[in-house]
Amino acid sequence: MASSKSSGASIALEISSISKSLSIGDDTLQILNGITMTIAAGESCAIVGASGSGKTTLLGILAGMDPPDSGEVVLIDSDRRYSLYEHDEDWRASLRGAEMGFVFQNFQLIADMSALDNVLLPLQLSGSGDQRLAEIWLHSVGLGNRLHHYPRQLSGGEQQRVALARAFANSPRLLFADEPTGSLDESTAASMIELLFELNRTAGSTMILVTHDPALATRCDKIYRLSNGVIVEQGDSSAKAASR
Amino acid sequence: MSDSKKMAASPFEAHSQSSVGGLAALMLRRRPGSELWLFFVCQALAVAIVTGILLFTNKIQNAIYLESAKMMAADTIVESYRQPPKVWSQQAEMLGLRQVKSARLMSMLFFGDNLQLTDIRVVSAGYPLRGDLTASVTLGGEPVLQNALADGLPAKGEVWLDEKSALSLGVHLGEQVEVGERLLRFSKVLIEEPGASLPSLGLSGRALMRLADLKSTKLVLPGSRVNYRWMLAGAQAELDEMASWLGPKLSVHERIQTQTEGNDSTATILTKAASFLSLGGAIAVLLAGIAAMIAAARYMSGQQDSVAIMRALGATRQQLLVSYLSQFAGFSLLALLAGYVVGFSLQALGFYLIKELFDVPAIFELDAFVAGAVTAMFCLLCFALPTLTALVKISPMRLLRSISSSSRQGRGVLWFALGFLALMYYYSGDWRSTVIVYGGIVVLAALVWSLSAWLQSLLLKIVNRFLSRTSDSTSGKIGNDATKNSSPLAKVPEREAPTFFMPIMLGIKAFCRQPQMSRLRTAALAMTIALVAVIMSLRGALLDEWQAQLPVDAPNYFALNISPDDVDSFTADLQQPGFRYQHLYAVARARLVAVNSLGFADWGITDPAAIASLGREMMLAQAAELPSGNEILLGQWHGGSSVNRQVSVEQGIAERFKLSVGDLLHFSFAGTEVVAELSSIRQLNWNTMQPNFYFILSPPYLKEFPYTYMTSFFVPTESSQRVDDISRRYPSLSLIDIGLMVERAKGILSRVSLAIESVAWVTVMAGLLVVIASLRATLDTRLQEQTIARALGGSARVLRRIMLVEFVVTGLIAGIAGILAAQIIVFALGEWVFLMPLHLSAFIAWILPLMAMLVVVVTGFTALRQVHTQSPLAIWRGG
Repeated sequence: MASSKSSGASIALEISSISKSLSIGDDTLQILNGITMTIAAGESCAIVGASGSGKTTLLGILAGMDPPDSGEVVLIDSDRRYSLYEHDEDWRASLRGAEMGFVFQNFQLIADMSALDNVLLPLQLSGSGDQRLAEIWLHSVGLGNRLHHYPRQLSGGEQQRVALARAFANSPRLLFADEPTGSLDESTAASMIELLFELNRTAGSTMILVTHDPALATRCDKIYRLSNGVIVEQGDSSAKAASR
Repeated sequence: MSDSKKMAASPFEAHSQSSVGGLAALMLRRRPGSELWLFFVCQALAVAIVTGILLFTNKIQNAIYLESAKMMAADTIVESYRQPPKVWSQQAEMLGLRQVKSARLMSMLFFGDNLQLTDIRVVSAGYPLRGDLTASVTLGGEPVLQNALADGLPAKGEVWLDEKSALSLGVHLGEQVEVGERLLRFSKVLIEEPGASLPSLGLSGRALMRLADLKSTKLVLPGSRVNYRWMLAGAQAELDEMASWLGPKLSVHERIQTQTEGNDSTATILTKAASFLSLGGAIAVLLAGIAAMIAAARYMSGQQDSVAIMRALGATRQQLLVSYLSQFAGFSLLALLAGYVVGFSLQALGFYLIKELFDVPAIFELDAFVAGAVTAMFCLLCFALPTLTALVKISPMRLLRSISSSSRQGRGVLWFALGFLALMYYYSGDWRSTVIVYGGIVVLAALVWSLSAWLQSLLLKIVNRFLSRTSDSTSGKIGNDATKNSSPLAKVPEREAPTFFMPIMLGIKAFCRQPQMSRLRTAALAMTIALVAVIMSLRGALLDEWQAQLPVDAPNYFALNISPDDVDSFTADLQQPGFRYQHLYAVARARLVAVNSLGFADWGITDPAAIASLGREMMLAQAAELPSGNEILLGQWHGGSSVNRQVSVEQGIAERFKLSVGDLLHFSFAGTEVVAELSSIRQLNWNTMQPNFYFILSPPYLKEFPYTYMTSFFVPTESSQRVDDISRRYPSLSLIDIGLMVERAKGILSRVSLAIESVAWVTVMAGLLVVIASLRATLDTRLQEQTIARALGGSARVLRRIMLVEFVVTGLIAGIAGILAAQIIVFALGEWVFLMPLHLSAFIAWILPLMAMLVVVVTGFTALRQVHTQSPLAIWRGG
């Protein structure tokens, strides 16, 4: 499954001084506070932290889904730089369709679309609409015999495989995963991690994943630990393992 | 950052441009959910109602107008004091309209020493343009239809007389009758001519002759009272054009009479029926529209995750809007076709069932299909589009974080409101009924919203107090919410069964728990109850009124000129099996000549119609008791005897002559002037077939002058021979057979009633859809709640009781508010649109809310039966 992108190279991210707060009634809750980080092209990066530490909010901001209150997210494609939030939501949506893939904790498949149509969706959105490619992706995740099944007819593991096929169908250069094994049992989760990393290696994407699972985090090149909206710890996973 | 903008568009411009069609195609492949189907059904129903009702009512209206035209002898009549100018005839010719010139005048006919005052109709070739002219070649002979005969009209120099005139004059067929200065040959016996409305009382003779002979009779001299009638027939569009062309050219003494106003009682029926059908259709469409709107909103609500996913995967708002619109447009197209098929089939079935009543040419009514398409488009643009535009703004962050997707609905609500208003006006075509019904609905919605909010707050306080008290008394065995109450957290054998009141309290609490949803559902239900109540009340009132006007034994004969000496024997003759007769009134002819000693010019009468009527003698009656169907509006009924002469006056006459109670009216009885004090002003029901009088004198003053008696009576068809016997026994008696007219009116009524029944029941069906749609709108939440409650130990029986109470509370509030609003709307419609006293019947006021409650309960229980019948685990897995 080689990348279909013309440049072929992965995208790097440069995040500087990101802050985000939420208004809850009369109160303001500071979710992120001056996050600065760099993720190199082709690198896999895990964001870990306790519940409410702001990791999912950060993921949304990096994926262009939720503008920060301040700070900047820059995507670097070879020698070109794109400031994510200098453009409108439709621009960012198109960018997501062209360059990004997503894996969600609850799979987030469209219930009234078959497995094939779910995988075909990003291809249609990016203009190729190549059904054959969608079928190949479903075969590659072991669901070649479930093309026309609806999500409710699939098990949790199978649904997450469809989600993986959908995430990689468009050969994204940036992959975002939010607790990809959070809804799966241990053995299914392990096989899913294998599959995720294998597909990512083949695609050569830059991967940012949010997880509670230490085993999953240590598979990544780099780990950022968030607490109360700030990065309290960072480093590459091998160093982390050695320190333990 | 400096170079970010120059590179900004490079990687994905091509993608966003080319993917709209692909996404739309993918959307169309999606399995449509039940809500989309409900939207489809509602839209199809709206189209079917509009197309079906318009097809049906247009044809019925055509049939009725044709019937009315038959009674008028034309589609349109221009009444004038002169013959139509040549330029008018040329214009009618140019428009392809058929035309007949006619005149009507009163004159005395002579034969030997005999004379007879006769209503003479003078016509040109081509008469009648509509309806049937029948005559016979012998006295007492069978009527023969003249329309298709070569000698279908009196030839020049001939006159046709009705039997009464012939008998009165003693003339035989072939003999010559003196008409003015001409002798005309009596060639046929006139049986029935169209356009012969109820004759003026006291005039029993009718004659028909050619216009070409009129001049030579010298009956028409300067100042003669001749009513010229220029008759027209043709296509409606051309008739309308002619009417518009003529309008500015007519003087105050000329007027256009159309099919809708051809006959007073028929016109009233038609006007009311048309108002009802338009209003009923509009309300039915409105209800179907509300159901479509609720279904669309629910569908959109279920699509929020899908939209968030697609937005996360790169779909732009424009792509999503186009894709969803394509999906809705596809369904709308299907709904349009289905609506056409259903609408057309229903009206075809309707006509098949009543085919013997109708004689309507098959016309392709394009208007009805266009209106259907407009309805489908309306549903799409006003009910689906606003929700769609809000939907595509859903943030993809919804997938990562549980965030509310509340969007500002203000503009959407405004769209709905304006859409509904436009829709109602479009179908009713009457701003007054639109404002009344629409205003009523808006006020009702506000009322229900506020009432529910207040009740929810009040009930919640009461229920919480009750639950906390119960909780204290049971030492924590029963909690204060549904879950705890039903949960077997306490030891099962020791758990107390829920008290009788517990499910009631929890049901009320369920009603209060989702305040906005409950209020919305209650408001929708209240609106449905109100609208259905309005339409059913109108239906009942109209049918009752018409039934009262023309009961099975409605009088079919008028008897005039009954000599005072013959009253007793005549009354005895009418006492036969099957005969029904009205009160016999003493009547005399008189003219109103002055008011309060002032001539009419000095009294300030300027209305030309009023001035014209002054020359006529009117029939004054004498009565001690107020005739049935009369209602005193002002003053007091004079009763059986009075010290001075008193007179009661009909409302219209009082207005026309600016009369009020206490005025002194000067009447001339054959030259003798008599003054009477106006003691009361009455309202009459002109649509009954019984004698009605403009003036009624107090007894016994009328008997100072020459007087006769009159009445109306019903004779069963099988006894009509006896009427001839009666007629022969009383030579001075004038009998007028109005049976045919009554039968025609009954025919019209039966058709109109059928149309009204159909529209009323379609409205009920649309109302049912609203109830189902509004219930389904909260089904997911309810299903989830009940599943959790079941899993946590709530018994199916208790859950059913809780739900029952919630539905009953909803139905109760909606019922009370709906019926109150309906009462106000119905009153306003009666006052300003239908011009008749209208009120809700007790039956509707009680039964309708109960029925609505029943529907709510049955629909709700059916939808949630799975929760109550399966094991909690099965539900959990299924859910």
